[in-house]
Amino acid sequence: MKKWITGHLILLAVLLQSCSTSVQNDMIFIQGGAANDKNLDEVQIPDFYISRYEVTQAEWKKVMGKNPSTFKGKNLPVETISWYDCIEYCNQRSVLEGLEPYYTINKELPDSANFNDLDNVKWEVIARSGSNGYRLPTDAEWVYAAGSADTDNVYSGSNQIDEVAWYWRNSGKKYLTGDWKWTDIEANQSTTKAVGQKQPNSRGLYDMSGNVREWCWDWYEDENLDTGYNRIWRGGGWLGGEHACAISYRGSFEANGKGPDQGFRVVRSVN
Amino acid sequence: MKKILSFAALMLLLVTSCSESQKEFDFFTENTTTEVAKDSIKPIMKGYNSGTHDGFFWFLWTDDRAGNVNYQNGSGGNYSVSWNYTGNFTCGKGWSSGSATRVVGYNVGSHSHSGGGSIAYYGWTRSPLIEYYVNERWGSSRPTGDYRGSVNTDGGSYDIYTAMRYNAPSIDGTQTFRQVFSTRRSMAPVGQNQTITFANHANAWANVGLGLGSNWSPYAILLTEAYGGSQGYSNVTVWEGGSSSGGGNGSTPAQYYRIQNRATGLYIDGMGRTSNGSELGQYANTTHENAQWIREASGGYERFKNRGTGLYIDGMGSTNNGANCGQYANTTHVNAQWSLEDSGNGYYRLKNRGTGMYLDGFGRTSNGSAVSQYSNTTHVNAQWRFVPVQ
Repeated sequence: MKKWITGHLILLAVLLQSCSTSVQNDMIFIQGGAANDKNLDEVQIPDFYISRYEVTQAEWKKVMGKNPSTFKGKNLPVETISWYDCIEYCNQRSVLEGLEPYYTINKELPDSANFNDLDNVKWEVIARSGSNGYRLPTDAEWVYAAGSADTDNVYSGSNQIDEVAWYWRNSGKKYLTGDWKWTDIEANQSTTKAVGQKQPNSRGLYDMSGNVREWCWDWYEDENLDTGYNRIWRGGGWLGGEHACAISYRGSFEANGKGPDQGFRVVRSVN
Repeated sequence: MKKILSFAALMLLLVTSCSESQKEFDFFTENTTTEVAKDSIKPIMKGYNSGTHDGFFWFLWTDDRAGNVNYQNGSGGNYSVSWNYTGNFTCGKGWSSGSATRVVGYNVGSHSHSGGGSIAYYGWTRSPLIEYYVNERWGSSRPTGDYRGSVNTDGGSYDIYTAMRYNAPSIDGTQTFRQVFSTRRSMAPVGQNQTITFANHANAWANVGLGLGSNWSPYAILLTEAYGGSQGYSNVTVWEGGSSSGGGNGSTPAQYYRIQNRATGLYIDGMGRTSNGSELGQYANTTHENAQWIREASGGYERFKNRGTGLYIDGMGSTNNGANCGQYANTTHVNAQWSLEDSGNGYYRLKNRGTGMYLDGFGRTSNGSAVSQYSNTTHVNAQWRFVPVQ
């Protein structure tokens, strides 16, 4: 009888906790190694830590005071934040936790290496690679963490997108079929989802594919767009297509751009 | 230009090149990064249809508002649409991909339009993502934006504007893009063949820092759009008028064309004649500059200037069937102005503005024979095509 009660009290406590408290977004250790993505030939990734989940709104509000997200909920990923907002978050969180800020931010002069007419922020942000503070993942780190040494999944953790990702088909009231249509998605009341509800990848990371797109540190560059215009995002989000959730897909967005599907997760170097 | 109109277009943008068809965009966030766009309007798609009809790409998009929009494809590049609609719709006919050098011919047969919207040559580039308009006619308000300059081309003066669309949903997720457009200072006339030498707009845009993208795979159409509570109708015909790298700005060399008869294959030839009123000739396949012509816009019509001599093709005011066509030095007289009427498969009838007579090869096949004129005829002898000189 006592065991029965204890068991149920524990169960109740777990349920209550899952309903009312913020998830613990701990930092997962990623052992470095050779990058296994075709875009990253011969890249050697050092050890690093990366957050298990996308940065949540509770985590954001604790550091920044305000919550800019379009869809509100403390365990929902923070979104509608620019790349610059994320840089500031990293530094302020580092200070709060007694770490060395990773970035030097110069807001006075426009960054002469930023050529994007659409970007009206253009802060000069310099990485201080020796420091132990929070930072955005590099593109190579993100891909490395999303993949795994022994499998070659299309999406982070599976070849079956619905097992691991919130994306346009499954992020609303009912499962959408047919072609991608924004109005269908909107009518389906599609939104971000609380972090950590889908299957994690082999490294224990959740929502690397889907939910919100995740800012990376690097400039975007391809045959049509030079470096100095857009920053990279990875992983796709709740409103985008399947292709954007693939580990191999590299997205591009103005650094000052914001959207209800644009979030991030943090990393720290192992010093 | 209405801030929300672009979702209708963006949604159509990536149809051909994404793994999932991209059929729509919307402006759904008020978290804009500048003061330019604050719309948080949420149009709901009611209908999107597209396809190929008589060799032309077409589409119709409407949002979920009260009223009706009746779009009909006509033959060739023709379509008509009538509406009484409280929301926003876009429709039109053109091409499934754009081109930096396309010369667009069109004729707005009729147009009545209250409320917002325009008739425009309209499309997209990618890399970067840019939406462009050449506004020819409009409803109750002339489309404007941030003024950047002007360009004179095809017999009209246009002002150049730009606007930004921030943080709109796409199949990739949220994206930001620029709109660039030329708007005529006064509306193009109804019932006349018109030319849009798109390269002149693209060059002028680039000259004021509004260069387009490098990827022209998205569609480009002769658009009819309305929004904001509008009633009206339009009947529009569009055709490919050839290609041109521009020239209206003096920055690029002129494009020369040979004008070939559909029935006989002979080309119109100035024969090296330099006196006013001298006869126009025809000649078999020749690369001589006497058989090369520059197409010049002239008050909504075209003039054809000989490369060898500088004389223009001139109807000489003749109204008799079979009367020979002449050549004349630089004149803006209506006798030297011609309109193009689509005969299909790239051929056109060339109608004289002064007399309404059509240029006619008369079935002649000998080199040096005359080119005549004939009243309204659809015979292949009166059908011509423009072959760009490489």
